[in-house]
Amino acid sequence: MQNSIETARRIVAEGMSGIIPEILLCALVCVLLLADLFIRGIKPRTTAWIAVLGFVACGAALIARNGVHAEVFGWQQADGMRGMLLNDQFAWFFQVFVLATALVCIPMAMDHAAFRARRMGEFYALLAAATLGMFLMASATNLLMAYLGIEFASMASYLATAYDKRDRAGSEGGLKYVIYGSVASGIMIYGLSLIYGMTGSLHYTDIAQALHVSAATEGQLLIAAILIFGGFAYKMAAVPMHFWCPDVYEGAPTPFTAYLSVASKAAGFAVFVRFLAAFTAHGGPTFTGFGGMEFEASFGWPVIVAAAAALSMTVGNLGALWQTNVKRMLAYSSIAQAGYLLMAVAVYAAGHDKPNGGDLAPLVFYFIAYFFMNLGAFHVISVVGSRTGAVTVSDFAGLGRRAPWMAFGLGVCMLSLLGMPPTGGFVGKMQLLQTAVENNLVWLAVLAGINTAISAFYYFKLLKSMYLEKSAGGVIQSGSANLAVLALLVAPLFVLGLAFSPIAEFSRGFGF
Amino acid sequence: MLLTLATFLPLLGMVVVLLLPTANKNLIRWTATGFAVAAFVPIIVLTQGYGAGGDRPAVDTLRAEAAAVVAGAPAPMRAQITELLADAKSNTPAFRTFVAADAAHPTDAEKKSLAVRAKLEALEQGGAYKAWHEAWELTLAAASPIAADMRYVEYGQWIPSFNIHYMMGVDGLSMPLIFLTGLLWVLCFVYSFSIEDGVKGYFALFLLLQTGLIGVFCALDFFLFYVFWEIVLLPMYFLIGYWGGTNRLYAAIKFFIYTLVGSVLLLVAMLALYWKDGYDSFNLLTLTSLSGGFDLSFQMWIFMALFMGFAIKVPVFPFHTWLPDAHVQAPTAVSVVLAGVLLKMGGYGFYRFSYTLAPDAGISQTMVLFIGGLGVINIVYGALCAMAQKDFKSLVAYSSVSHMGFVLLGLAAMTTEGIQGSVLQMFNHGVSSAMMFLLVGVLYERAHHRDLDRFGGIGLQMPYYTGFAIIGFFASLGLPGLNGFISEVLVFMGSFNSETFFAGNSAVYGLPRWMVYLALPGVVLTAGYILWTVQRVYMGTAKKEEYKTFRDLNWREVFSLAPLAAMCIIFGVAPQLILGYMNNTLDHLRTFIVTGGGN
Repeated sequence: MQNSIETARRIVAEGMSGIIPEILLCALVCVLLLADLFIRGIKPRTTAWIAVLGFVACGAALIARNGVHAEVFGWQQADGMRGMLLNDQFAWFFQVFVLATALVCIPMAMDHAAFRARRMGEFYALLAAATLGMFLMASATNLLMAYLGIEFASMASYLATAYDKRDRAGSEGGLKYVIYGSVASGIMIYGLSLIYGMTGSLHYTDIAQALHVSAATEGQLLIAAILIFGGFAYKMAAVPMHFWCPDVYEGAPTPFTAYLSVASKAAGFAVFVRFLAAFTAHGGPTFTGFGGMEFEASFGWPVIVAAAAALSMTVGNLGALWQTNVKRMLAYSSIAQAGYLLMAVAVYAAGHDKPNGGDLAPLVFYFIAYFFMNLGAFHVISVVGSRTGAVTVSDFAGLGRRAPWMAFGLGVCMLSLLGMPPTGGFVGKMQLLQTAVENNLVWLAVLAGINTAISAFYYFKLLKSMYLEKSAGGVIQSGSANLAVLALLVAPLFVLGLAFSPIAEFSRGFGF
Repeated sequence: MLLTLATFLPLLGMVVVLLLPTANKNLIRWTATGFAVAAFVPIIVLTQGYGAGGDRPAVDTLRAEAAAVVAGAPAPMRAQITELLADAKSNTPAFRTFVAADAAHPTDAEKKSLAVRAKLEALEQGGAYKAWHEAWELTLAAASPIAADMRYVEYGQWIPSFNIHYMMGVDGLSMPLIFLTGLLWVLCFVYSFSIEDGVKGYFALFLLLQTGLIGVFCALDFFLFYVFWEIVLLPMYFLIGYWGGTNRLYAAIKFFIYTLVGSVLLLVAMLALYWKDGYDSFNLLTLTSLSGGFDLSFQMWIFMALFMGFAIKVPVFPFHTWLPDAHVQAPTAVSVVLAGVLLKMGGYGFYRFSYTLAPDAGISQTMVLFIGGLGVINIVYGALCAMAQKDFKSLVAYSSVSHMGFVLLGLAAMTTEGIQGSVLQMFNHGVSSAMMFLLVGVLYERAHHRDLDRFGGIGLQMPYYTGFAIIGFFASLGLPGLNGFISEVLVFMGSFNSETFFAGNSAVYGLPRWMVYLALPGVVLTAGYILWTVQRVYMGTAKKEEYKTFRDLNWREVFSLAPLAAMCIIFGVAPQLILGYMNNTLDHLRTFIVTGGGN
């Protein structure tokens, strides 16, 4: 007994050094909350700067962790370490990604109209808390840890969505988010419990090994897989758990919508891909199916993921066609984008244990492009919305004249989301299609192509409104800080579209 | 350098125009026109130098580049690279992942492949794989039959991690189209001086469009080509959507989405080719020298995907419905370039990509009947539709559909005359349809309507204008002595001959003669709608008093019409002037295709 307590203490003490960025985020949450509570009349600007400082410190610690490969809170087993978190390059990329998103959202929040006359410490604390949850999602190698990460990120997101108490849409969105979130996590944890029952373990590596010799039947595994996928799909905003997305995106304060659409999705993909990699490692157990055909336990995943990809892009794009509210439209667009991204995951699920099949580069590259184009779009929507109250597509009429740079930025982001050269979205989509074509998912690539053509219709609605429709409105003063943020978000899209060699090389370094 | 200048001067022009003060409309107009003229200068130099010693054959350039790449590789690996390059066609990257069926006992053939694999792996370890791959691409590109007539090739690294290069070049196929682009832009800019609303945006977008188009005709790297191809879409959307007629938004988005569907399939085909056998190459010339080895079913898929992309642009029935909408709504100058060169992107694509990358598919019975049949439908159906139009511009738009059918018919025939006629038809149609749209525009600016039935007696009122109109319309009709006649006759001769010409050739399916008979009524119908139009608009008495106040052409209109009219006559009398550029290229191309990619 004494011995095991000693071991536990040692594990915790050793693990602490592995989670310095996470600890910094925790500290940031506390500092922000306390500052908000105890400093009378603290200005939103001050709390924003505290948040920036905290995030930058966390970023520095994160950069120091680059190249590390270590299980955290691990215990020794015969064939290696088992832990709760695994700090590796894959986790590192998504953590940097989420942190960068949070950083970009701060200037957006500082500019947001509804936030100007409020105490903002709590909001930034929620932002930091959600970021912490997503950090854990990216590195969790234990089902329990993954689940807790998801829940932690979700809880913070529910609150941040409804942060503007006077806004009915925000409260409605927050409530819907909670309800859908609870259902999704309920479904997921049921699936997880099935897996635990079949394998007797919570750690990914143990699960993979146990599945290899498990007595579980194909049907049982399939049910568990689909249930778990429900939970992940909710975080990725992919079909079939996408229903929350339009309402929440519409209701949440725009800076937080931006954060959700980028960071939350990325974290969802991170936790899913890591789980998938474990589930399908070792080829999985072999089953005998109909007609005496032998196949592996991983059989279900490529099909499930490919189907979800096909449905997500189709449902997202068709849904977006009818939207008049810009944020709702981008919500459906982000569902479609999840579908494109899932193509890469489907390919990965089908072939990552084969030579040249485990390529996550297209996914990583597309996320990099997605970061700039989606944040850029929401940035413009936030800036313009704060100044004119614009919510529908037709409210953006004449923006090409009223705020030329903002309109240009939004236009480039739309073209990039559509996948037109010479922007990063094109190169990203090209790589996704390429990996699908290369791995015999031509039907999915063609479907993505058709979807791209459909999506032109709604992405161009905004372009049409901004440039081809006239409005009587006067010139909008966007502010130089906002223009600077816009430039930082839009210029990289051209780099990603015209000189993407270094980034493409960079994106190859994040497999397992 | 010349091609880069011709392509990117307009882009520079766009930037300059955007920096000019919005209020000074004349400055913008003259600056834009200046850049169009500046971009036309290198094109003139190209046409003068091509085949006249002022150029460097592609083969030399590519070999020199390959040698430079080998020289740049790590010294110990150079001998290995040279050894592998000696037989570039058999030592391909395909062997990089070669595995023998029975690893323990490889057959003799497999032993050879394994030896190549071992060499490639050695290169990889020596850090010379990239260099070898590039040298291999270049060596094969130099060996490609398409490279034989390629000139002014420019080559450079662009995106090394995907083997994407900046590679441009011209041959007899692209040269006439580039010339036409350069010329039409100058004419259109002068004509567009009458645009008063949003002058800056108009000229900036127009210049961007030019960069896209010249790029499309010059690019020899599939990725580069695709980027230019897509760049064309965007300015077109805005030009129609902002400066167009009452229903412009509908027409603009219809144009955009139709073309985008095609482009995306083009993209899938491009990626499939890149991935094919692990060649990892976007180099068009490299791919053409390998394409003979692609199996037929793969070629069929590629051919169909590429076909969709190009057919929508041509446009081929039944994908043509965007065209009348776009034309009717577009401002005059946009219609001119749309009919003049944008449609040729499709025809050019067939020659440059479809038939060179899937030669066996192109000469198979299915595709000959398919392409030829669609050509016939285009010719006859387009002419019938044109005859039924009440709107002047709509009529000219459908006449384009009809005329582009000849391009398909000559292409499907695969005989020397057929192909020459087909490519010449692209050029001639570019001249005559551009002229017709200008003519319609001139009239519309005065009458503010395009209803054919409400005109009449224009000939008396505007004699100079009517003189130009007669040249333009009769060239389109195919009157002997004008340019349209030559290409149509060549197409008919070629397609009529095809069945007998290929009778003894089991590999190539000759275009059946009955198809030509079916296409013949198109000629009569064309004469019908054109003569009827001339009669309704220019003959008779004025149906409205206000027509009597119409002034004849002003200097800008004369400036834009006269060169086209001159070309109608010159190339009608001396077609050799333009055929001379194409002959060699098309001969090589044709031999390449009918021999199934040289295999």
